[in-house]
Amino acid sequence: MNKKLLKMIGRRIVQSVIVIFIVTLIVFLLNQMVPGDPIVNFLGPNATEEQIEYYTQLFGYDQPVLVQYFKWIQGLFRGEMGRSVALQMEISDILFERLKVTLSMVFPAFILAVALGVTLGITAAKKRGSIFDSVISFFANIGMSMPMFWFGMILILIFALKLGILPTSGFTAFSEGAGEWASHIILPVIVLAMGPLAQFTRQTRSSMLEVIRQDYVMTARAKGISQKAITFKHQLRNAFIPIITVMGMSLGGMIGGTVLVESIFVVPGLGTLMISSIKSRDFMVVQNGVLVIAIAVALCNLIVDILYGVIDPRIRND
Amino acid sequence: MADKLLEIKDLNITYNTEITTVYAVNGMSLSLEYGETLGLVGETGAGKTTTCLSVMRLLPEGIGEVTNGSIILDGNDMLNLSEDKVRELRGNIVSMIFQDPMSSLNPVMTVGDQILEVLKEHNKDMSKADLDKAVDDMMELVGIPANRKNEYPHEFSGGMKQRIVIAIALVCEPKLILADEPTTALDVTIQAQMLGLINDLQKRLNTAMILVTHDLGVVAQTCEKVAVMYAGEVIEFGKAEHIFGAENLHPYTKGLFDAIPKLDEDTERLVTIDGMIPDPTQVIKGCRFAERCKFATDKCKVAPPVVEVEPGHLVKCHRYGK
Ligand SMILES: Nc1ncnc2c1ncn2[C@@H]1O[C@H](COP(=O)(O)OP(=O)(O)OP(=O)(O)O)[C@@H](O)[C@H]1O
Ligand SMILES: [Mg+2]
Repeated sequence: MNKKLLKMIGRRIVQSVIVIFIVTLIVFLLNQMVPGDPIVNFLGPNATEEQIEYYTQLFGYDQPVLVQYFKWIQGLFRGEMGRSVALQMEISDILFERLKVTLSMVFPAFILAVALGVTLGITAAKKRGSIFDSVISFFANIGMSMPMFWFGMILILIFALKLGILPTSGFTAFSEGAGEWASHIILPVIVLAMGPLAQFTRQTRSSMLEVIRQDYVMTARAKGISQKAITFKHQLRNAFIPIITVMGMSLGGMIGGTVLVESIFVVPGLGTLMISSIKSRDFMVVQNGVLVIAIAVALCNLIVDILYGVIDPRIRND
Repeated sequence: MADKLLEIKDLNITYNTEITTVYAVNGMSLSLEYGETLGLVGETGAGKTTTCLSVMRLLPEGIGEVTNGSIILDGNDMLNLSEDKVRELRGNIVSMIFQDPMSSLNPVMTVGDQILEVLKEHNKDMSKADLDKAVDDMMELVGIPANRKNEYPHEFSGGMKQRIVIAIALVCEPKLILADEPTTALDVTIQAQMLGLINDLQKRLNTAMILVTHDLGVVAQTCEKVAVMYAGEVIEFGKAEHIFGAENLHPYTKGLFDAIPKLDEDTERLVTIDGMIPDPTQVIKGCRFAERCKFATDKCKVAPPVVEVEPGHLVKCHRYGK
């Protein structure tokens, strides 16, 4: 690619790092304000003053707030996140174990939503006003407004309880058998994909309709090139600019938003880890978790920005 | 080779919208020789763009419909060809320059690729090197350095974009260009330059052209023949010298000339033709201009005949009938 594009990417990376830094600061301060103490929580009601004091010192929670913050950041640069009080494990080990589980649902869900959403959106735009178009629009509206937990429960009711063809909940790693893995993951993936699928369909449809009216599409027709070339080289490339924005936001949102789906289907992912850590006031796990999510979201935004630059030459200039 | 490049006969076109039916073109007839330049004039809504689109077979799908007539282009019956055959002709035998060249280019494709695309489509067996060379030559021909072909439309000025649009239209050396008000979106100083360029290239490549414009001055400078459109039909057709400075004109054409502000007279206000073009959603039986015509009589309630007032000069008006 060209120099302008590389410069733009460099600028965006610096911006992302700043944003992530600010997020860590905010989360850290918020955690300090939340009442409750991880040590007290872990030791239980029968712990003595000495025990509490000993562990508080051991974990460094007696130090000034700013010192604690800088120690955490310092550790991050060495690749250490600290130890979890509640779980008595290295936080980085737990987090990445859980992140793998979450991503193994998010990626299939995202790919499903993109592939199906773009296809349905293009078809609906091409057949605007047809019955197909109306049906698609109808379901897209339902998909966007249906609450996730309700949809998840309906699916469990039908496929797990009534038909008995899928397990109600739980998770099996891919390494322990693809079939088991798939049967556990299929319902969470559908629930997770539903909202984004509806959104991508609507966005693709409206962007395509917007682009169909443009003069350059008329110019392309007047060249005598095939309808396929017009759709892909002229319409879709232009329509993709707003579609990509929506996709980037959704992917970031899906990683942070699996909490609900993981709770419904009792999946040991990042979301359920965050919930249990908040309950046990294990704030080091919470803030490292938020950091991981923030990095993931920033990464999605970065990819979107790079794609923008690749697709739209006008953006490389600013 | 057919003896005429383009022959439009009794063309009727309607737009069927959800609300109403617009009779955009009504009994339009026109013919054009190879290599000839024709000025198509008429006020807004006369059906000029609609006519050009129908020649390209690019009327909006499901809305624009040819209900009658025929279009023969270079021996091809345009209205009865398969879509694949029409695609072979588009951009190759006939190309169109649209009303607003500013937005006619794809913003996310380099200008070189946009010129290349049409050339490649119609010359599938040309080598990569030959294609590239042809694109470079075409760019130089329209006055853009070929080393700028990897730039995007937003990196060019309006006049330069227009040159690219012209390059796209001409790169396959078509037999006919339909230029739909190619300069209205441009600066006045660039307008003349562009028309000069189009005219020059067209002569060099021996391409015929239909130049749609509101500007009779432009027609006088560039066109050999003139067709005046009113409410979807041609009401006057002839050589430029027939129409400029002739006496026996259609009353509408006369009105158009009177509406040109003259520099040597200090007129208080612009002379205009009273009234408006008829409602295009209504079917009109008699002369469509009668309502606004100061010579209108009872005869005008029936459709006027086409009268050859002098060889090659046709007027559709009862005044010149026997
Ligand atoms: N897509 C459309 N749907 C409905 N009516 C249309 C459509 N396009 C054009 N028309 C109508 O058809 C008639 C002829 O329009 P056309 O664009 O051919 O005129 P024109 O001579 O090119 O005018 P202008 O000088 O303003 O470009 C007008 O009454 C116009 O409103
Ligand atoms: Mg027009």
